[in-house]
Amino acid sequence: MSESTEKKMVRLRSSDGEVFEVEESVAKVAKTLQDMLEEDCADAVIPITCVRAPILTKVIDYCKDQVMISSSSSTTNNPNERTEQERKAWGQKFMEGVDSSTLCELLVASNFLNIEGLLNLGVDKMVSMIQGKYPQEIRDMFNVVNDFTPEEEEEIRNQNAWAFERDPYYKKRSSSK
Amino acid sequence: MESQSQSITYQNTDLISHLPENLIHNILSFLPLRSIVATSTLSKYWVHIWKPLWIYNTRIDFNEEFTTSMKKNQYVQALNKLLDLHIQQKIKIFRHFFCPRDRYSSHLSRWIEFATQKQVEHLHLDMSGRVNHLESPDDDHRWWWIEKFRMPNCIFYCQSLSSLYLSCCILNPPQDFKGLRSLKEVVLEGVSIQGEKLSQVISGSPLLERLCISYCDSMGSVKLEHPRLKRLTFENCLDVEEVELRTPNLRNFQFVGGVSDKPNFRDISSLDDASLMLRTPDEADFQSLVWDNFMSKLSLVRSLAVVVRSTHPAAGKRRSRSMFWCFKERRLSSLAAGSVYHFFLV
Repeated sequence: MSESTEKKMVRLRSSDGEVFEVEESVAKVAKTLQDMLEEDCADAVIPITCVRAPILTKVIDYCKDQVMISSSSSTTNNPNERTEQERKAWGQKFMEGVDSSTLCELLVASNFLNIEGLLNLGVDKMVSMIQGKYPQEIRDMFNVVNDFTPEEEEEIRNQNAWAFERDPYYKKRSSSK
Repeated sequence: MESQSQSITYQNTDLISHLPENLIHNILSFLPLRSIVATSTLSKYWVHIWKPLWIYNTRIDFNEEFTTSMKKNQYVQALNKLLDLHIQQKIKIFRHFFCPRDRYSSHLSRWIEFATQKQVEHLHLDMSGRVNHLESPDDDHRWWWIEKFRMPNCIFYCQSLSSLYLSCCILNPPQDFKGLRSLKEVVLEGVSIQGEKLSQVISGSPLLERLCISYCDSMGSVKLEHPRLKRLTFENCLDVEEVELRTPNLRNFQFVGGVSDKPNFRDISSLDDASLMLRTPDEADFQSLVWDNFMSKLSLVRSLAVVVRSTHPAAGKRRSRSMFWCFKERRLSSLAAGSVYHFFLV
């Protein structure tokens, strides 16, 4: 990467019209933007049509952090380099307090912008939210509307009845002794 | 103002169903099968979403949690249904915990055929039923009294097989068995296999690097001869008349057995990490068995543990107590084997 004395800036416009100015290196963390910038097909302001301002803010925070780590890891003694554990802790903190709708939007954003690290953080968070939950709990969490009739739902359940019983059989049996 | 009102509507809409399908699949792929299938009742949109994940899946892993969560007949039904749906041609892993007893052994044979037809690479079949059917799963003797499942011949022709774990079954390679050319790792626990058949499997697997035989029976004379084998565990096998080892590349070796096993270790000088636990009624066996047969041959060993336990013939019941010593030391590379022995006696 060539270091120019003057940092080149890129402007991004969120779906709700807010414009963010970021360093080019920050924007380039997003593969989609990197490709656009390298092929020079980026306009003065790049519209990010599927990402709202509050989400884009969070995405930019993530990218800035990545730039900070990678720029310091090229030098030998870097205070910012993180161990695996620290990285995990950082990721957890970054996703802390993210509610289900923000999470979905973050996933869409990182998928569209092609930011692998952020996408993985989002997927991990999503997995931890869904795991071990009953369908109704998942519906409540993500506002999924149950559009089955009771009969239809029953039929779907019956097709794979085993997946809907959470109490392991052997536990039931041993406790009944 | 505008963004605020928008965020309120976002709060109340179903966002997860609007995620791109590749993203949904990405998320589901980290969940256990049960949770994946359970998403089919979220809404009409979700009824079929999970299916591609299963039907193209190359890692078919029915783990303990999956198995123990349902009744046996339900399990058999679920598995039959799932395997019927599956369309991927090749699979990497087939892992499965199930004790068939007589009642379900035809189903199990069919599932194994399914795996071998799809050119499975890692086959892991635990048929001990130790999770849900045994009172004391830690009991060493559990292996002896379980009804064993006869392994279908198809696994002996499955040339894609690279690692194989089997427990509680009868292994008997057919007459025309020609070896398994990709096999690198074999673990057999509580398996009934004759010594000569075992030798046949081993010598027919040129790439074999790791072999673990524990609590196996019907052994008779066992000759383990392999030029590449690096790691070997041979422990607590029943009906052993003689164990002979010719393994010039063995690095890691664990042996637990009795003097009655007549261990005869011929080519073990490449050992780096060894542990020998021998039951003997007679202390004099130490010289001939432990020293002449084992330790005197170790010139490169770096980690060694030797335990010799004497057995009481009293009351016809084997009761062991630690007699000699227990030794474990690393960094012996600079010592010649002879001085290692003296080191013990100090």
